Amino acid sequence: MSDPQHAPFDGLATLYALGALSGADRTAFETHLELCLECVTEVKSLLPVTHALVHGAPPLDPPDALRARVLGQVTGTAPAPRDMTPAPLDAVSGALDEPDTPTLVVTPRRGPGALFWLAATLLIAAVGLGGQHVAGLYRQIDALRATVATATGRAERMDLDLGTARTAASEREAVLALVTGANVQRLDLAGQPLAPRASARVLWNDADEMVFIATGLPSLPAGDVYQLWFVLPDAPVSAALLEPDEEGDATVRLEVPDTVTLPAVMAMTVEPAGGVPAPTGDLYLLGQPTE
Amino acid sequence: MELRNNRSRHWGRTPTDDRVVDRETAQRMAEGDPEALAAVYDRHVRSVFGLAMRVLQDQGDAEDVVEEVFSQAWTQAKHYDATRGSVASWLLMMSRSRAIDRLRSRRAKPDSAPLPHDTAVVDLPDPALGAEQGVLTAESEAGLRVTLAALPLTQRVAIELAYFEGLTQTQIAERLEQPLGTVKTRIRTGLLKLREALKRE
Repeated sequence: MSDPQHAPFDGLATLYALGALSGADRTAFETHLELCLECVTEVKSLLPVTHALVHGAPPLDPPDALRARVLGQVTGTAPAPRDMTPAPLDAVSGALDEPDTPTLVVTPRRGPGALFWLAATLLIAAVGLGGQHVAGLYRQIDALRATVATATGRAERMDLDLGTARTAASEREAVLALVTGANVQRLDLAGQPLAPRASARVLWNDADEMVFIATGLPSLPAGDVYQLWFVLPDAPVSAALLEPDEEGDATVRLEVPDTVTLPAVMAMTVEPAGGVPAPTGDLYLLGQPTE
Repeated sequence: MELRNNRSRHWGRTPTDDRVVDRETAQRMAEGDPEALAAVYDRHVRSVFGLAMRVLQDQGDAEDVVEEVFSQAWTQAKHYDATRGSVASWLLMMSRSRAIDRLRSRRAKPDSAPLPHDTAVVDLPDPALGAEQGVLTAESEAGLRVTLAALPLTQRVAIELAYFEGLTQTQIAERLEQPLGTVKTRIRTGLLKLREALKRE
């Protein structure tokens, strides 16, 4: 850093190597690269990392028919360079509409990475679910994706102990399908004085599929359990019993009873193990619809 | 086929054997042998398709990318340079480039960053960096997968958004609702940890 001209660019080599600089930032950095051996060296030193990162996606089985299509493309005709322009968007949506699109089978690679990939399925949005995101929800969903990944990544470790990783993976896919699906609504729950660092978010869609994601929950003494409630005008209705992991995270899918109209006030209390028909314990989380 | 390949890594053939086979197959492909293309396809299509799905999250698009990648591999096999990386890395870099191009065209964001791998600056050979240093062994690839999993999630998500979704630092900050400085730090810290992990391999 002895070169004062380097100072504004310090730390940008990593972003550049990853492709995370844009527009003017990138142009300025490339101009600087021509003069700065330090930055050139750093960018080059990161090449093995960026090359290695491409190996970071879980392998997937493509449809069998693709083999014939790809090989036919080459061996059936002279191996001329192909037109690499992206397919028009209507062609893409056409593919989505195809009713008998083969179902993808997620087959994690063997070896030490396999368990990671089960968790990583969360970061791979909605395999086979199509891209029907609601534009306005993009940001929210991405933040949520991270939240879900945290919670379920930890859930995975518990699942390992139970030997139900496979079930957990499909569970996570279901959660992710909801989180990334269309018309998702949400309700945030805030930590109450007994759990100031706790927070939670409930998401649901038009089909009344609902998921509850909490973080920062204090651990409870043996014999106690968290119980989540729909707080209706007449009386609270139990939504779920939760046992957070050792880091205070919990993710659970909820059934929405017919008697509940969403959005509803939701609350979480601490109750005796097994739960109770109506809340008796201290309030830990509370969320109220804004409208 | 990929499974068979993996199994052989664990019970018998070494990654080096696999890489020699890959190199020979690429050579045959460069000579115009269609069976070599079929062999490369069978061996690597799951990784290529998996990566395309990771980036595009759309099966139709990912299949198109697979087709583009293997067509490109066929036409450019004679330019494949084994000293710059394994056949798997070569195919995967193509897959990522094609997939992110497609993703960006879908997003239609003109301000997106071009991939630095496409730039002349990065592709310049560096005499200070031994050719072999740029080559990943199968072991270090596996090691990196484990290390990536070991990164704090905040770092991993920021890196993945940049690398697999082609977002710029500003877009990542917006998506994660985090300050730009925080995002920069997370990416940098995470990448440097990965680099150290690779050096230890």
